[in-house]
Amino acid sequence: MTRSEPVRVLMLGWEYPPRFVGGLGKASQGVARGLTDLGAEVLFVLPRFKTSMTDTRLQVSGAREWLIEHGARIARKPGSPRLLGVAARLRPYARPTATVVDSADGWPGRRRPTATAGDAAALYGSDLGAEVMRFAEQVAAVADRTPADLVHAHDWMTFPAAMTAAERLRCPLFLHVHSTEYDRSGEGVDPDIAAIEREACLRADHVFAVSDYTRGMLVSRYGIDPEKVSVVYNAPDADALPPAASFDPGRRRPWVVFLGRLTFQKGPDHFLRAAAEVARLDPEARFLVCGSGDMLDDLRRQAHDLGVAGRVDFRGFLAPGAVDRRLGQSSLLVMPSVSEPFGLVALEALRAGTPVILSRQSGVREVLGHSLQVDFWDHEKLADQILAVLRLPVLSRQLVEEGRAQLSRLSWDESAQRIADAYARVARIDVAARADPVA
Amino acid sequence: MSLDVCFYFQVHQPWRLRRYSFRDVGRRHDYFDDAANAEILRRVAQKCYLPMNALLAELIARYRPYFRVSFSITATALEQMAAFAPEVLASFRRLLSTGQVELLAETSHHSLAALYSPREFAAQVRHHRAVCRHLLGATGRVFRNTELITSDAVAAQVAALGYDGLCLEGADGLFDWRKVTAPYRFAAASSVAALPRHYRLSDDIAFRFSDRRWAAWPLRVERYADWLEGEATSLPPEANGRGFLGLFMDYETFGEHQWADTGIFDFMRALPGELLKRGGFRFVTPTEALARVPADAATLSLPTPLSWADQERDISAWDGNAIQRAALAEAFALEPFVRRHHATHTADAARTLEDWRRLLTSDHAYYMSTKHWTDGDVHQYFSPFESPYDACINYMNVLADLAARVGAPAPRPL
Repeated sequence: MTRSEPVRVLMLGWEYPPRFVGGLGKASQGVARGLTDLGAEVLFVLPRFKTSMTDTRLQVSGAREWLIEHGARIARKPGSPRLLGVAARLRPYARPTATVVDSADGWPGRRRPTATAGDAAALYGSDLGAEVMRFAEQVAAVADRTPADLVHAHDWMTFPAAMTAAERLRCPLFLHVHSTEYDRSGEGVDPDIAAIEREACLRADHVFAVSDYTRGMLVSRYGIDPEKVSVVYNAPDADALPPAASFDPGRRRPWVVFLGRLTFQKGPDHFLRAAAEVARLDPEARFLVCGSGDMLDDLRRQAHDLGVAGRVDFRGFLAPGAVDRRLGQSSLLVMPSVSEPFGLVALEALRAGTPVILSRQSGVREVLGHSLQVDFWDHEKLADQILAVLRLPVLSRQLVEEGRAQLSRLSWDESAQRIADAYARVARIDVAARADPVA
Repeated sequence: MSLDVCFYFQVHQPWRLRRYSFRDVGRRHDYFDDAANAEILRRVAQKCYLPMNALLAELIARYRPYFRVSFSITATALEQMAAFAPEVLASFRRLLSTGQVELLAETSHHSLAALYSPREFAAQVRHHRAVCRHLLGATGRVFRNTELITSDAVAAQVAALGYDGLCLEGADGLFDWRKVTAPYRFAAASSVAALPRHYRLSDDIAFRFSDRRWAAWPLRVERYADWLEGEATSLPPEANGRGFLGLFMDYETFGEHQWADTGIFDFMRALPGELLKRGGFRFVTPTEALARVPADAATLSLPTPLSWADQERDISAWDGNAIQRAALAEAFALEPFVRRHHATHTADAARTLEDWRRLLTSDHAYYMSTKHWTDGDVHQYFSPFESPYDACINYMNVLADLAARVGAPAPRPL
């Protein structure tokens, strides 16, 4: 009789703390940790991750670093005959086109998740298409050198790599969709990226969507069988449990916060339109735009044109610690996204004891009924909700208390369990049965 | 052993608010959504009020003088009928003129004034009398409070206003060992007889009638009459061989909550004949019922309010969360300002008093309830708002404008 080995997951991602831009990195970490807690062994591979981190049953590594560590020769450059040979099937979807990275159409922020400022540029590179292909090539080499029971990949940048790896390993392919091209770009989608997402989801054994909103997107935009998609909600960080502080309006400034990349998807322009309305009726309110992105100059101009430039502070990208502090001083977070698959920032706000207004075009609203919700385009109603929160502490307090109670019912363990259930149901891979026996 | 069957139908429509933004404060004072209110009233009139009134008239004529029913109709409903569907008023007047139909007394605006302001409560009861007399030519002698909210304190207020009968919910907590068919008085006001609702037999019609998962579906008149006979044969000795059966329900049950195609009208058409044929049943009005309550009847104590709402049968549907309590407190806090303003007899004064009272209608607080509001998935059947929080914001905006009109400080609930 052989002792059963833990289930081995080859997990592919693009961000992982401390190297991350938005929610993707934190969510990927939550999923990886949740699965290892259930007893799986996870090798999390991503591009450009210098420091290899090893936790209990969880190893996080850059693809290149992992290959060097394992004695692989990786001197080949993108475009070499070998690379094209491997990736030939993927070319129609992953052609490293100029449109993916250039801002030729004058709407750079709408094109893709390549935020252009600071960290984002470092993470997503200046030639994302080539990067995606290079990653696929490296992951294929990783797959040749390590066993895995299944491949689990986060978002489209890793999907070409995931398809290749699953094929090399002859193992089931699970995809995790944190956002789709239609969320990021509205109707101005990049056809190549959309094609990658569609093709990968069609090929996958199963797909996880971060909300029913996103599940609907996959079904309606890509024609994915709804039975093949299950919803796995994000959760608040387990290692940053909410303090029990209650909402004390006396300690809050009349600050209304926007927090996110300054891109079309996040709706900062809608925030400013509502801000102009609020500013007219509440002389004390101030508006903090926290984040960086291609729309910054446009937004400054818009604030000026709306006559609220003096009431709006552009604070730039906030480091994680600064986020908590800023939220904790403010009266309200507004998430006016045009299309938001989930919206982890709402959970961060509640963790800081700050009420939230959520776009109705978001996934997080499905788990946060105790919130104010508004269609992103309804500036008048958004302004009205902001004004109400600023002048009715009783409303803020109830939103925070009830919202946190709802939040406390979400956990990465619970989400990981749903993922493990799908592994078992779809691929007969039972994480719990093969977990290390507890000594 | 026989049973006095007392049908009482509640007729109520609130003045629903329109979307009223904070930027409207100080700029416009038209708070109510006339279009929606007219549309809803006309729809309910077509589906329920007119056909059911016609059916009752038919039954009264056929079984005269044995079939009797009673109504409690709020002033907010009566005034909307007058404005949007006067033929409904006429049809109620015809029913009342048969002499077989009785009215109940209540607050004019279906308010929670009994819990917040005895003075306003008394004023609304008087106002309701006046509106009933004016629009229906009749008034009620037995009292029912908004949503059957009843307590010792409410009974005492009702007694002070001269009423000697009061309806209440036959709730389990109070009636788990008492018989709901026996005669009672209120300990806090022994001059007031208690008329309890038999909630199970009432809700069999009002809620369960069309429920296909219900074991008794489809409910036939014979079966329902059997259940009533069961009550008649298990009367307690205090009933002296004649029990009381309170079948109290929303009038909109007929044709609106239970659609015509569920057979609800046919059921009601057949019920009086079935009961009268069996014998041992008598249809009574509330006034007739309380005449049979002896002076030394057993007494009921209700230190905390009962209502007929939700599973809890308490007042948490209206004051269960912080935003509801804040909104109610702020609304009632305007009372002295509204009265002072009213005393100025300006053109705006009468209008302001009526606007304030319409805001006291309990439905507005009900829309702010977050009970059972888990995971964002609740069917807010009655609410015109997307969420309880939107209901709260809209209401507080209107209140801010009203406060400014009457010279009160802006509401800033902490």
